Amino acid sequence: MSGTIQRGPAVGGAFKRFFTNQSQFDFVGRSKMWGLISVALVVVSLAGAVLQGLNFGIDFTGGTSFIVSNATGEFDTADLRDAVSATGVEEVSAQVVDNGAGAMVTTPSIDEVGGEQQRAVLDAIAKVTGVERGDIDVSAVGPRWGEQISRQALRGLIVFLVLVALYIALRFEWRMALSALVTLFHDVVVTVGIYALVGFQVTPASVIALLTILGYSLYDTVVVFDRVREDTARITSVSTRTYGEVANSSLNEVLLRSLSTSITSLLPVGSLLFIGSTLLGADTLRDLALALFVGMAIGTYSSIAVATPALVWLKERDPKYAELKTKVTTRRARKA
Amino acid sequence: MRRGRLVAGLIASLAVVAAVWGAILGLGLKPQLGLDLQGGVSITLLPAEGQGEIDEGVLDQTVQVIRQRIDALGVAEPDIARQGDTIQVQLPGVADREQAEEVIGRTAVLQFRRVLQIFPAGVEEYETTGEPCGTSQGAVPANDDEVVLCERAFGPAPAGQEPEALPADQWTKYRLGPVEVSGDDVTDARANTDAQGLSWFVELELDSDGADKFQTITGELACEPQGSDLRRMAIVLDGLVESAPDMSEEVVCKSGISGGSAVITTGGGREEARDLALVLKTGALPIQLEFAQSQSVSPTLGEASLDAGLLAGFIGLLLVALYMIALYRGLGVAAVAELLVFGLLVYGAVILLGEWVGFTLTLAGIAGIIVSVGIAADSSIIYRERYRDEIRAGRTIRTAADHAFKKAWRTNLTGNTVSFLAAAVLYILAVGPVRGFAFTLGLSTLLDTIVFGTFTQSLFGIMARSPKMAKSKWVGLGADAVAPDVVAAAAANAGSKQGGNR
Repeated sequence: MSGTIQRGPAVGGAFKRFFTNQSQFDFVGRSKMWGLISVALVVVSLAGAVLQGLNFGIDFTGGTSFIVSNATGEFDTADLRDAVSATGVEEVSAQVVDNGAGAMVTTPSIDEVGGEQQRAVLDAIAKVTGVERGDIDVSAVGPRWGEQISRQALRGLIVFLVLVALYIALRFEWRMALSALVTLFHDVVVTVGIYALVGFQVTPASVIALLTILGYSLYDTVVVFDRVREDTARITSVSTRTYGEVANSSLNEVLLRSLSTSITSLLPVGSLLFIGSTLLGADTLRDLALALFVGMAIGTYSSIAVATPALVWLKERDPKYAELKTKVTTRRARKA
Repeated sequence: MRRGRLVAGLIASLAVVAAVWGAILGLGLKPQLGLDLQGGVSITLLPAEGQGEIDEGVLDQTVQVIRQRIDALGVAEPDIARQGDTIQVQLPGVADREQAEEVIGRTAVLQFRRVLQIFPAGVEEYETTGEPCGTSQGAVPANDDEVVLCERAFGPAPAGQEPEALPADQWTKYRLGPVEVSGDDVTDARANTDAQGLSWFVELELDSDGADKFQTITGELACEPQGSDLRRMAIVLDGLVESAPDMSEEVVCKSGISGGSAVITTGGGREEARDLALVLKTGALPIQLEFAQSQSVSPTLGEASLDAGLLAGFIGLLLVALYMIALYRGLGVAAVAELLVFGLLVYGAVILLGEWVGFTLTLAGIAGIIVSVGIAADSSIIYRERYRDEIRAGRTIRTAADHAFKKAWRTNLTGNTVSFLAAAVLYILAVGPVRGFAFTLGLSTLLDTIVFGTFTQSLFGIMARSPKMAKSKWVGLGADAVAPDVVAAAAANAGSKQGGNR
């Protein structure tokens, strides 16, 4: 693609051009490559999700976690595990933190929440760690809770998608709505795939974060589309540039903004992730932050490399723009 | 836009921030903290499987029964809410999770007992009879014993409001005989009204076994003299007297009420009849419940979580501020001011909403606010990028600032609508902690648009109108900082002295 006509010659190297918004990356022209990359990502993710499966946390499988802070006794993980296993519970996992002042024990679902066996486990932990039974924080989850959450998340997802598709179709046009949905699909599948392949634990918080990511990814896409629409509105049948070329320069114009926004969003989420994972019991924070971190990164990529190429592909099937494209190409060929 | 209006906008938005925080600091308000931040017990219940489709009304009844049981525990400000078929019970400050689970999960026991004697608060034997009221905590009295139980007392009801419960030492004590008829014998109870709709009553249905026992006891009670306490029969739920109706004069001595159906006239309105019907029908919970999730958080863990959340928010804000200044110089400093105003408004709104509508800040809610920092920063970034575009297109600083605002404003509205939709859908459809997250996210999105339309516009507009700032290369407004190529092109064309590529 040749240079844009509104601007003077770009000054400085590629890096400088980027920071002064003069970048001229050809995203749309290479849409085949982006398409291949994205399809590959989706395929790998789907394969990962199917073959590897997701690592569901106790909120989905059912289970109990016990958290001790201010322990006074001398003990290590083996002591804890043995003491709890002695009550007849299997698959116990134990963890000691804070130089032995805190501990976390996780067990699979224990008969019924609040039942006899749970009390026995509490007693065992209390004895090893030297705290009162009542001072142990317990979080118990029945096996159906996760199912409940997933069902609600799915319902939320569908309602949200319908609303957003309607909004974009009304505010912009249906092709943009469709491209945005394709982008969303991409984001969700790839996020799920990363969770499957890396083996991150899926908790209700990650499901929630997934919904937030959708909102965020759409927000990003909408900001890009807003610019594309503004610039392409000036296209007439005698324009010298195709829809794809105009859309591509719109993309370059918002590129710095897209990346800056991602960085400013990832910084707080990153600090949340860091603080959340160093603090015992702040699982909600950590799980939210992790899913947000992964999803936002993908959302930024897709709003540039998936959404707009998909939109251009759809648009240039519109006779009006297809004709323009033929005209522009023949005109250029004649000149050359 | 005139400079005067921009200054007015700036002052007005700062005045709002000052007013909000003046009120908060002046009244010493603090955010209402959720259980995960202040400590307490949270229990989520689901209907057990295999009960078929469960009616909304039945679920509401279940919630009411649970509420009554929790009330008997004497917990301050319990929060019992139903969402779909999920019931969530939040008990702030309660340390004993096991007891709470026991009280909620237990099957309630309904008993009909003969009244032997009534002791209203203040009579001579009140103190010496039985245990003080409000201490039994829902324990079920043995069937065959004579017992002393209490009935909650209520003060006069202000017009249109629920009457307020009086303290336990003003409740009425009853000395009661053994159980005559138990809740298992009740098959149905409905609130109903006479043809004129004037007086409300409860229709009670008993099974055949219960009908026989009911006939015997009512026959015996009817032989007592009119007006005597001994003519009354107490309805006891979980060790508390719910009602003690008198035998009507129509009931004949020795023959009693036959056929297993009876009518209890409550004397009050619809509410009272409905409550009693509920008590009678829900001797057991109307449906079987299952613990879906239960969590106890100690106050120390809660405090640590709060500190961690605030620290993460602070670090995040600091990093974003550094990035903005690095990218936009003086305009970045202005962006940091915008973020600060936004942050102060969001946290202020959380505190005020806690005071007004009881909004509680949870860990997930803090996460929502932290995520919104990104959204707020984006508004500032979009404006600045738009501004640079306009400068590159050759506009003067002032018109570029105004044009850029118009375009960025439209983008902000569109983008934030999508974010707000996401938050609203989450809030309406999600359960538990998610709602706190969605609420703060939606609130922040809303405030972001408001701050953008007032403070941000005014601040940027005023900066763009200051000749001093326009010249300074540290502010970064000028074309030489924003678009060296435009300057270079202009220099090449006009041979101007201002050429060069900085």
